[in-house]
Amino acid sequence: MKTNARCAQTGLLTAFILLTGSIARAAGAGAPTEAPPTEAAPPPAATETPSPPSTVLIVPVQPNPAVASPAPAREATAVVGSIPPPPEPAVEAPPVTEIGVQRLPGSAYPEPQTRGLKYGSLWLTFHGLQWPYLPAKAGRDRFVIGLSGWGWLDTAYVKFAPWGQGGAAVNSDQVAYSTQQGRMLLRVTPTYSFADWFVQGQVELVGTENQTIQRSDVGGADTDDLWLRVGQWNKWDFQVGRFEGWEVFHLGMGLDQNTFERQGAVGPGDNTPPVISFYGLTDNEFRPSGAAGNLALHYYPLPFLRFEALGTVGSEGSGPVVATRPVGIIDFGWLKLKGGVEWQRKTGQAASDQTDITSKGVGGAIQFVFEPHIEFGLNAAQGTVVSIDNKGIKNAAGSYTRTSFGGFANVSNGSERHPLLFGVGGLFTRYVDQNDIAFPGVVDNYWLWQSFVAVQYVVFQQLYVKLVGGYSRSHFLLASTHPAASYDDEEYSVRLRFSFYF
Amino acid sequence: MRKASTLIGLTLVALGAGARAEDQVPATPPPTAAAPAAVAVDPFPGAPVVASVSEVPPAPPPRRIKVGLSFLPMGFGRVTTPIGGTAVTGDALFTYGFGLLASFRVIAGLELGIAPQIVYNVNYKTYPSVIAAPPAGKETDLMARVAYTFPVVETIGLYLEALPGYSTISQPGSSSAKGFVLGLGGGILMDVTDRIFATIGGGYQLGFQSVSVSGTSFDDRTKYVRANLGGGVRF
Repeated sequence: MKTNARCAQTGLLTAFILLTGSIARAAGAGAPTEAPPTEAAPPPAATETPSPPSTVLIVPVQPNPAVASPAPAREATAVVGSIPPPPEPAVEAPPVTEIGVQRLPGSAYPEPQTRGLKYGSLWLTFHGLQWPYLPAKAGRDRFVIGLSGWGWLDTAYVKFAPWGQGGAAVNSDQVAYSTQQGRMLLRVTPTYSFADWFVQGQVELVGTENQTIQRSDVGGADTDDLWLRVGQWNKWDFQVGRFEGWEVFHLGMGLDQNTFERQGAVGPGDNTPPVISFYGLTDNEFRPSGAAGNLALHYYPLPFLRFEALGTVGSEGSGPVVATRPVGIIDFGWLKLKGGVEWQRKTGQAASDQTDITSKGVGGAIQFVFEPHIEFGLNAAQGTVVSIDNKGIKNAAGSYTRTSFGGFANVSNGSERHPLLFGVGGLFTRYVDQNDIAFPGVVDNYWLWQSFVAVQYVVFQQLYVKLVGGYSRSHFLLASTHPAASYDDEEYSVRLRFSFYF
Repeated sequence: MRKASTLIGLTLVALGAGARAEDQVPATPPPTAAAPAAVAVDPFPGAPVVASVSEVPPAPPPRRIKVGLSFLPMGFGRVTTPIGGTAVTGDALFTYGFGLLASFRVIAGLELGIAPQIVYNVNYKTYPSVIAAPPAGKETDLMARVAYTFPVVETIGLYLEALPGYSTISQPGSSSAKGFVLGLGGGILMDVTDRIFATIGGGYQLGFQSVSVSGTSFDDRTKYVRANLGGGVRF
């Protein structure tokens, strides 16, 4: 009993001493959480992001030279572009003077030009900017573990209505689904900044509502981002890991990832090789699956001009993959031009496997933003795939040209208190392969139309509530018989999404 | 026990540090949602008040006339036509149309007006006969419109509408079907500016058209689930 009491006393004493110390230290830090205005200070809009004021948990740092920070010397950046020398001996290196755990504030997402209508789909796009932006402050080294994330929950209903000569496909497509699915991710972004240099990492830890899907399924990944990058703020950086390439196609307030309207009118019976889906310079945009990852060099020569040179290496599925996807963005705020090309090659793993699939593509987008009420854009892309099978024979059905074009428009009431947005969009895709097996010159020809209407209200400027109605139609002309059989499929969907960005 | 007490201590440290850090961050006022209403503060309490909210000029009278344009995609539908002396019903192809709107605000929320519309691609998905399918037709609906809008919050309202009218379905090479049509619907109305508004709505449209073949009247009608994407201007 006495021992217990002593232990409790020791604990409380420890707590009191540490608590006092932490208060004193935090007080001495001098309210370090508000970033002072800098030359690259975000425009007022950046402070209007839905994130509430940042909360910083200051971890006291004892000035102990023996365990000094391994940070490079600040003087290393005296000359722009110079390579920092090796860290100085530990006993002489300046300590990291600020360590924080921070819910990323609006200032971490500066927008030198407007991103889009507030709360709209373009506004939720980063347009190639270096986010999260956590520069050193007042000439002091800074280490921050940024916390942010988002989550969404979809309740959806979808019905397919096929017709035509598809036989088994038409029968298989007579289905309807009702689902609720969701994902929530916590984004942890440790960032070390000194002068205008930074070293940053990011991991996105994902929880999924549907516990029956596998990690390899669409939406089943338990890690989204996982990357490291180094560079200079607003100048350049080099990034490696698992992340997405810059967006070119913008689809608007519908056709969200992992949703029925994104899939379109492609039912369980429409297992044509390949399965049709929109192409928007997307072979290498999304995070690689398998043991593959990206390397990217980002360059910011002017405030309105950004470049990404992205490469992919590793193994996806059954074999090695190598790819590149350079993208450029010209962003004047009210006008945004995005364009790029991509190339990807997948080969067989075994020496005897002659699989060789090469895909190429080019695409671009133009977007207009007229704040605070309307934004719209147009997209177009075309690509080809040439496929050789594992025996070295050309796969005619797997060699095809895909073309997508479409657009979107969002309208907002511009209200701060009651933000309401309407969104519409549509996208047309056509696949034409080289499979004229039954009759010369008659090949498989598929097309897919995807469209949506969306209404979104943001409760308390925090909780996004979005209702999306989708309509999609597909048409399949199958050249494996003569005369070629054709059938159509339609998809009607409705989806209610709740999402929260933090 | 010592471990437990240490954990308690560290927990308190974390809580204390967090609380202290938060104390140092002046809470930025939340977005203008919670901003207080504009009040003119008198810097000289003893002096007569020279400005107050009550002196803000009165709001202009409400605009009574509304003119607009709508896009009408209709994905779900049924078509009935006479085939071989029998009225045959089948699923309708996706149709699309355009509508005009002109209405007058009678009292707060209640509008009366007209909403003529024209709808294209009126046809079956799969023609229910072995004979060749006719080309798609066109439906013209001359509708009146009665609508009531419930204001929800500033710039946002919910509306209900009834659209009775007279309809004509014309197909190349055959007689036109004519008859009564009724649309019912509702949606969201959003004020983009004082003058400009946008709407998104949905509803159901039921036709009672018929056509005369050799002196006999047959049903030749359509039913559609209608969507409505519109916008317009108030005067």
